[in-house]
Amino acid sequence: MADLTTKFQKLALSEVESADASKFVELTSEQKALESQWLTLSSRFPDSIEELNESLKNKTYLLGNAPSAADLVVFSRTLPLALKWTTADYASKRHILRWLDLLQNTLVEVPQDSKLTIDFSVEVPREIKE
Amino acid sequence: MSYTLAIAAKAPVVAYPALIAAAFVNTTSDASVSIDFIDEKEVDGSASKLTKGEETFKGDAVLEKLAADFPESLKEFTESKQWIEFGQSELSVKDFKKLSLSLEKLDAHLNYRAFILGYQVTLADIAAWGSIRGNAVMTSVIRNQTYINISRWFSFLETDKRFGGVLSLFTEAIAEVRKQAKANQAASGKKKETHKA
Repeated sequence: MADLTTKFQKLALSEVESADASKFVELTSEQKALESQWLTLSSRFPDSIEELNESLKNKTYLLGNAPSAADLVVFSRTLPLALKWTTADYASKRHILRWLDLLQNTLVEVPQDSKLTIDFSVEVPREIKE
Repeated sequence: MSYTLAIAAKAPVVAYPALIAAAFVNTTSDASVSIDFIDEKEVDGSASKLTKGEETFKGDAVLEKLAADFPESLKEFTESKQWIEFGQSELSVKDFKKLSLSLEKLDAHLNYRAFILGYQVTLADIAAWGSIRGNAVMTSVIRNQTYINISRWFSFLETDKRFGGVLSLFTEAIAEVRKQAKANQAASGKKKETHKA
């Protein structure tokens, strides 16, 4: 739910791996499967990074419309990669960028020097559903 | 001070933004806006009417008044103004050719954004979402994910009880009003028959 984001205390980036899952909405079995899939895939990043972008196309958070502990863990594994991206990566990583920016401004307290800066003026072609 | 919002359910463009705004006021402030669903094309010549004590507000003034009185519930009024206007003049049109240009704009805006402004629901989201929800042409556009970012944003907000939930309440309330009206009609018809006999 959209209003969930306002109810959480921001977590420090260093604490996200030990985030308390009980603070989040309980997951469905489908979401649990997706969660374990992403915990595995994210440990092998940058492999599967395109799949992360694809998965976030129609979801605001990693597992759906509400944040979960998995968001935080995968966030901490994605951010270091994203900091190296240039505007040439924007089109193919747009959904990851949106998700990272939402998280670093709502759920996770990121130190200023490792914060991602999004250039909102970068124009990318519209995506067409295949 | 108590507020009452009357919504005309058969208006050509139903005042969903005002309805959702009222739901936000009710869930995030101490005030309460009671909502009346009127099964007519207009209430006093407008799609919506807000009553606060002796004062009444209609049309655009409804959202403005609620935003002015509840800035904590309906955030970023000044920044949202252009989106309220965008919703009314561009997202409510039925001509798909014209509509598609506006949708491209919104879709592009949502490329790196989960919300229209900043990182939380603001009046801009409420206005744009309400306008899209009220446009019958948009139902299949959202479902088919013709505009991927718009569909994601729309569905995300829909899971919030003040968006999707309030719309369900609205549908149920109107069905009830119609059922009641039908029952009343049938009862008065029966009476006439009895009278005749």
